Amino acid sequence: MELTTTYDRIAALLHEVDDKLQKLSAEAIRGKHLTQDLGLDSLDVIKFVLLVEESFGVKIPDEEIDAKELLKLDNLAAYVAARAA
Amino acid sequence: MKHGISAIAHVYGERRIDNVADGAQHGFDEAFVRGKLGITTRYAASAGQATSDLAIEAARALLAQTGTRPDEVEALVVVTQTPDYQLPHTAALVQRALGLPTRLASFDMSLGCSGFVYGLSTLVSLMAHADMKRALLITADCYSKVSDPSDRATAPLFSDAAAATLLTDTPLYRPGKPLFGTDGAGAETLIVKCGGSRAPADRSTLYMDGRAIYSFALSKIPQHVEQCLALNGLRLEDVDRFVFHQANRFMLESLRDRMKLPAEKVVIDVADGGNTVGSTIPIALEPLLAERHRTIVICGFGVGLSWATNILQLSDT
Repeated sequence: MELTTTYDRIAALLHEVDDKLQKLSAEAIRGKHLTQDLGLDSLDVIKFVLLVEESFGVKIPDEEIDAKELLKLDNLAAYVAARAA
Repeated sequence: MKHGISAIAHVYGERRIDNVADGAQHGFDEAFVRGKLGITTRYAASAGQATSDLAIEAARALLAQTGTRPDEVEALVVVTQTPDYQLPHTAALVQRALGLPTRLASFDMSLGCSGFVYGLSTLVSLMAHADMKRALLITADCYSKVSDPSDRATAPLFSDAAAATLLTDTPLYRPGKPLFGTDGAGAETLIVKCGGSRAPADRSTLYMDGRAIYSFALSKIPQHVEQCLALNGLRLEDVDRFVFHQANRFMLESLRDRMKLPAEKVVIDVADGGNTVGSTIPIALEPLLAERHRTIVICGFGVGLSWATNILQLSDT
């Protein structure tokens, strides 16, 4: 899957998580951390990860989130792009 | 179905907890506790209070409120997973304390957040089968007795409470056709791994995988509710109020948004009391009884994993 498309889709999913994130573009989320830069709290992260799993058809185990530092959106985009159907 | 719900009463544990102050001790800011969890006050049983004490107090309030004499009660179900003892069943303790007749049919049901919907179906079926007029359905749990108050995943959510529901053959609301679900593959996502026959002497406390529970609820419940409505010949638009298990505000708003339900139809009643496990649905239903909505959906989901949905329809008589 094209990484550029992946960023577009991730940005669209962030819009669903919180109204405050509505204006974020695919470019703007590059290099960003979900909690440290975008201000998501623990419940927002749970919601966002579910949306990513459903949208990309991938299962993201808790241990992968920690081990692969998937709260960093660059890591997440690469992770789902490599695994998405 | 002839039998159904006539009245509800509930009580909380004696100890009142300011959840904003308590949450701060766990590193949660006020906006998160009030806005996201939506729970400002919680309640815990005192050291001397057990589950049956809450169940008895709720039942006494219900009997007094409805003018029901103890000897008129023919069946009693207590839904709990934190019984006073491993044996005997808590319903027997409640029967003794309330002075209910010894001809009473009584038993416990081991279910959590789906327990009210299961208990209602079970008890109305028993009442029809045995031609009974009055029965008590009690949901009661004291999670504070089995949880670690320093656990950030569970501490800011749960309260100890009991709700008593009077079921009669001349009810205010009659249940429709229920729909159930079970998936033991998720058994370890909400669990107390001690006290039973596998680890009787261990002292582990409540564990909850919040992400797994959230994913389960969001992926299973919307379709389940629509299936239950179809089973009853109804559509989402026919429903006046949706009473989901009151886990927390975030969960309820997520379900509401995913199902595209009007905000005014989705009951969110967690600010005072939070997640009372099997009692959240009757506690949220209690004030609705007086509002006389025609059709109410009740849907419980959680530990098991277990889920159940039904509709309640206002009686014509």
